Amino acid sequence: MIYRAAFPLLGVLATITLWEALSVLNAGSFVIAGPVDVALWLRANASLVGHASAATLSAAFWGFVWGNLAAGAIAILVIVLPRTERFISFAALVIFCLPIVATGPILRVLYGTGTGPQITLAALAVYYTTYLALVVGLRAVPTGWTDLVHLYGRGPLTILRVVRARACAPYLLAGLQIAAPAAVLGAMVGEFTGAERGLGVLTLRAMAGLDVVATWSIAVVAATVSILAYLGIGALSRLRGEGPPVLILSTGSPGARDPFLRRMVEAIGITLLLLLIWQVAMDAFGLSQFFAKRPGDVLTYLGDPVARNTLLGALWETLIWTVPGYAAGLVLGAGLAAALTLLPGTAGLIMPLAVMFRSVPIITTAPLLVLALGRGATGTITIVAIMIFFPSFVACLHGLAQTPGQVRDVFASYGASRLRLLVSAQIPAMLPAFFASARMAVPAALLAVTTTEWLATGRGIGALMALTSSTSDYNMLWSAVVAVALVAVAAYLLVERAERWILSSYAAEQLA
Amino acid sequence: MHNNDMATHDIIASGLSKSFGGASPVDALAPVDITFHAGQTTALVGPSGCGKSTLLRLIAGLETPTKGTVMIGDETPRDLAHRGGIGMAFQDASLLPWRSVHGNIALALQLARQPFDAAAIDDLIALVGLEGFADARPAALSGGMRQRAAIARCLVTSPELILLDEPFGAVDELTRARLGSELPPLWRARGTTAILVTHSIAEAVTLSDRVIVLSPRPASVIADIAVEGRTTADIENGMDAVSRTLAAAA
Amino acid sequence: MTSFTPLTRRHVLSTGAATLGLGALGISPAIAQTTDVALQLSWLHSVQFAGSYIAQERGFWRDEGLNVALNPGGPNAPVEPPVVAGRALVGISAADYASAAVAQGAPFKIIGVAMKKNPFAIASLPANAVRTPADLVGKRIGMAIANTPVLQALCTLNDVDINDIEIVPTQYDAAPLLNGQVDCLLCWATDLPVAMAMQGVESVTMLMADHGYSVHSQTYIATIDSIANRRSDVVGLLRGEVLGWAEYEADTDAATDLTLAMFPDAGLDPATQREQARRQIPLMFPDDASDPFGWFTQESVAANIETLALLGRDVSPDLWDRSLLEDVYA
Ligand SMILES: Nc1ncnc2c1ncn2[C@@H]1O[C@H](COP(=O)(O)OP(=O)(O)OP(=O)(O)O)[C@@H](O)[C@H]1O
Ligand SMILES: [Mg+2]
Repeated sequence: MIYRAAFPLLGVLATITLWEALSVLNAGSFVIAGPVDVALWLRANASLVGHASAATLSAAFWGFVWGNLAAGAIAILVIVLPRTERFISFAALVIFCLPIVATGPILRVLYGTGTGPQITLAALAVYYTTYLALVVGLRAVPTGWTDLVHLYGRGPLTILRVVRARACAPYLLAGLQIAAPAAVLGAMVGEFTGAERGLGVLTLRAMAGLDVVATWSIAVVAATVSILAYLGIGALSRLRGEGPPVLILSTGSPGARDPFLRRMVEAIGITLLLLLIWQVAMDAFGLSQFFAKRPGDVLTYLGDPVARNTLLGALWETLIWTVPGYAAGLVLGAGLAAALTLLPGTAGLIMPLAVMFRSVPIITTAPLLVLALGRGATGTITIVAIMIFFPSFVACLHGLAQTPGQVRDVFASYGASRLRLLVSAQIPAMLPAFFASARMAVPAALLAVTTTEWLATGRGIGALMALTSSTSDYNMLWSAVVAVALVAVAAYLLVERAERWILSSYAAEQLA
Repeated sequence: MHNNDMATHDIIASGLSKSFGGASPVDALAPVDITFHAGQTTALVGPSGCGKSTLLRLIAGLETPTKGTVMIGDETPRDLAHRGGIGMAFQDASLLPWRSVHGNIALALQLARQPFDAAAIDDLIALVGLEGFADARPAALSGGMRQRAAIARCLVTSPELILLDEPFGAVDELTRARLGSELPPLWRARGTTAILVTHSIAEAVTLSDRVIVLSPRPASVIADIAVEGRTTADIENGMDAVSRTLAAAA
Repeated sequence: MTSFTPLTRRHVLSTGAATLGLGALGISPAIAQTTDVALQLSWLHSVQFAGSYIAQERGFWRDEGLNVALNPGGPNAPVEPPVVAGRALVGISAADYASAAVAQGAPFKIIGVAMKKNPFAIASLPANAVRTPADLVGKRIGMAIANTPVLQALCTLNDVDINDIEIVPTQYDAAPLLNGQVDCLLCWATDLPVAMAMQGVESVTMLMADHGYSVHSQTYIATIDSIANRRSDVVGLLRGEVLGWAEYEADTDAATDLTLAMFPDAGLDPATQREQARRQIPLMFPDDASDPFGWFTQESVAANIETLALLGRDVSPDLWDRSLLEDVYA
C-alpha cells in the first residue's frame, strides 16, 4: 500500500528532477527554464501572477460553467428528441472545429471590450467533450431502471430526472476532468483577442521579451491549475462514491447503418441547415460583410482556381504532418496503456507525468517544442502527438480495465501469461475505448496543428488563416474555416467507419 | 387511498401474443387467453426462456402486445400503471445503485406520487429481513438481499396488482421459507391480485391459489391447476400435478 | 454602436452654452456632455501607445468632449473589423495592412501617421553584422515566411538578389539568432533588439526605412462614413493624440512611468519599456522631418505607393486623407 501511494509522488519528483537536469543541459539556449528559476520568478512576481491568474481563471471558470451548461442542454435535447442527434452532433463537431483565428475577431467585435471573448472561447473549448460524455452517460441506463419508471406510468421526463440525470454523473465527472485544462487554454487564447491582463497576456509578453523563465513560470501556473482542477474533480467523484472513473465510450453517430441513399440525403440536409444557420447568424448580428463572410461569398471566392489552389496547397501542407502526428499519438497512448498493464503499478508513476504534459497550455509548448525540434516534420508531428496522446492513453487504460473479472479468471486458470491475456482478452476489450478516443482526437489534432502553425511554424492552413486575417483577406479566411470543418467531419466519419469495421470482427457485442 | 382498496377486477389476457422483431423474429409468447382472478395469487411455471417474463411485462404494460389485449376491468395496464396500481419485482432486482435500500423503496412512493411514509418503509425493510441495511447501497448487498429489497419496493405502494418475477431466485432456503410464510398473507390481507413467476414447483404450490403451467417457447397454457386447500395433502397433490404436466411437456 | 444622438445633443449643448456665455463662466462644454468613442490599438498595452495614455491621463480628450476607450489588440485581434463594425471610431493600423483591407472592400482612409519610419529592421550580432542591405548576401535570415514580400521589396530597392539570402522560417523570437541557427532576423527595431539588450546581448539593427523601405506604420484609420459624419469627433480624437505624443516626445521616461502605473497587471518590464520608448522616438519624430506628429507629406505618400507596389499592392493616393490633421493643426 505504501509502495503504491509513493508512486505518484515519485513520479512528480522524477519529473522535476528530469526537468531541472534538462534546463541545466540547455542553459543559454533560451528554451528551457528549470524548476528552481521558475520558483524564484514566481516568488518575485507573486502579485503580478496572482492578478493575471485571477483574471484568466475567472474567465475560464465562467467559460467552464457556460460551456458545460450548454453541453448539458444539447445532450438533454438529444436524449429527449433522438431525431435531432445527427444534426446536433455534426453541428457541435463543426462549431468545435472552428479555428479561433476566425472566431476570435468576430467575438471581439460582438462583445466590444471586456471578457466576453475569453469566456466564450473557454466555453467553446469545453462543451464538445462534455457533450459527448453526457450523451453516452445519459444513455448508459439499463432497461430495468427505465422499466421501473414506466411501471408507475411515468414518462421520459421522469426517467431523465430520476434515472438518467444521476446515472450520467460518473460520465459527466470524467468529461469535466477533460474539460478543465481546455477551459484554461480557451481563456488564455481568448486574451489574444485583446485583453489588459491575464496569463495569456503574460505569456505573449514573456515570449516576445525572450523571457524564458517567465514563459515557463506562466506555463507552470496554468498547468498547476489544470492539474488541480483535474484532481479536484477526480476527488469529487470518489467522494460521491462513483468508484473508478468510467470510460467515455462515445456512441458512434446514430443511423450509421442506414441505407446509403438515406444518409446522403440526410448529410445534404444537415449541410444546408448549417449553411442557413451561418447566414442567418451573421445577418442577425448585423456583422459587416467585410470580415463576416457568408456562404455565398465563400462559394464565389472558391470559384477562382488561384484561390482554390492556395487553399488546397496549404491544407495539404497541414494534413501531411497532422495525420502521422494523429496516428503516433493514438498508437503511443494505446501502446503505453498496454505496456502499463504488463507492468502493473507503474501507472501511478506515469499518470502524473501524463497529466502534467497534457496540462501545459499548447500556446506555450508549441513554440518551445518547435524551437527544440525544429519547424519541420518532427516538431509538428510531436506536438500533435502530445495533444492526442493523453486522452487516448486514459481511455485505453480504462478500456483495458474493462475486461470482465471472469474472463481474467478463466485465463488465469489456464495459467496464461500476462501478455496472452493482454492480446487475447484485454486488447479486444479496449478497442471500443480506443476508437472513442480516436474520434474525439480528430478535432483535438486539428486544433493542435492549426495553433502550432499559427504561433510557431508559420506554415500550412493555420498560418494561412493568420496571414489572411492580418491582410483582411477574409474570403480566404472563411474558405479555410470551411475547409477545416470539412476535413474534421470527413476524418470523423472515416474513423467511425474503421471503428465499425474492426469492432464488427473483434467486439461485435459493442455494436448494440 | 383508492389503491388500498381490494382489487375488484380480474385481469383478462385475450389472444395475447408477443414476437420480438428483428431480421429473424422470436415468438416469445403464443396467443394465450388467461384470466387472473381478482384478489388471487397465481403462479406461472414453465421452462427457462419460455416467455414467462414476457407475459409479466405485457401485463405490466412494459411491452406492447403483438396481438391481443390485456384488460383490467375497463382499464389497460397503462391506465392502471398511471394511477400507481401496479407493483413489480424484477428478475434482476433493478435497484438504482446510487440510492440506499431505503432510498430505493422510497423512490417507488415518489414515482407513484404517494406521500413519503418512513414508518411503512421501515416496516417493509424489517419484513424482508433487511434490518440494519436500510442505508446500504445495492453494491454492498448480496443477490438475495437485493431481491428482497426489490420485493419491499414492489409492496410499498400497496398496489392492486403485484407481479413477482422469480422474487426468491437467489434467496436461501430458510429465508425463502420465512418470506413465503410472511409475505403472501400481507398481500392477501390487502386483497391484492398477485402473479408470481417461479422455477420452484413447491413454491408455486405453497404460495398461490392456482398454478398455470406454460409450454416451452413460445409459451402457451398447458395446465391450469387450482390449489384448493392449505393442507399438506392438498399441497402434495398440487405438486404432483404440476410436475407431471411439466414432465409431459418436456 | 455609439449613437449619433448624444453627438448632436452635445453640439446643441455646446453651441447653446457658448451663446449663453456659459463658457465665459468657466464651465467647459465637455463637462456638460461627453461622447463615448473607442480607439482600437494594434497590440497589447505598452509604451507603444504611451502618447494615447498621456492624452487620456491629462484630459486632452475630455477637453474635446470625448471619452475615449483604449481597446487593446493582440495576436488574434485585427484592427480593421472593429473599425468597420463601428465598435471603434479610429484604429491603429499600418499602410500595408490598411491598403490590403481597402483592396478587400473596407472603406478606410489613413488620417494620420504615428510612425513616419517603418519599424521593420534587420537585427544581427556585432561579430557578423548586417549594416547595409548588401551585407545580407550569403546570410541566413530568420523570419516568418509571410514576410517574404517585405524582404523582396528591400532587395529590389537595393539591387540585392534575394536568392543570395537563405531564408530560415522562424517564429517571432530572438532565440534562433542567439543559438546561431540564423545570422540575422527580420523584426521590429523596437522589440526583439530591445529584448536582446535586456538579456545583455548587444545587437546591430539596420532600419529598413533607412534603405528605401517606405511604409507608414502605426497609422490612424477611420471609415469614410465616420470622416464624413463624425468629423468633429475624429478630429478631436486626433487632437488629443497630437497633444499626448508631444508630451511623450518631451519625456519618454515619464511616459513610461505613466504606462506602468496605468497597467500594473500587464507584466511590463520597466527597463524594457523605458528602452522601447526611447527607440520609438526616431521612428515617430525623425531628425530629417520637420513635420509635426502625425503629419505626412505628398512625397512620403508617393514613396509609400512605390514600396507598396513592390509588396504587390496597387494603391492610390486617396487612401490618405490629411484634411483632418489639417483641421487639427489649423
Ligand atoms: N427484448 C427482447 N428481444 C428479443 N428477444 C427477447 C426479448 N425479450 C425476451 N426475448 C426472447 O423471448 C423468449 C422468452 O423470454 P422470457 O424472458 O420471457 O423467458 P422466461 O420464461 O422469463 O425465461 P427465464 O425463466 O429464463 O427467466 C426468449 O427466447 C428470449 O430470448
Ligand atoms: Mg424470466
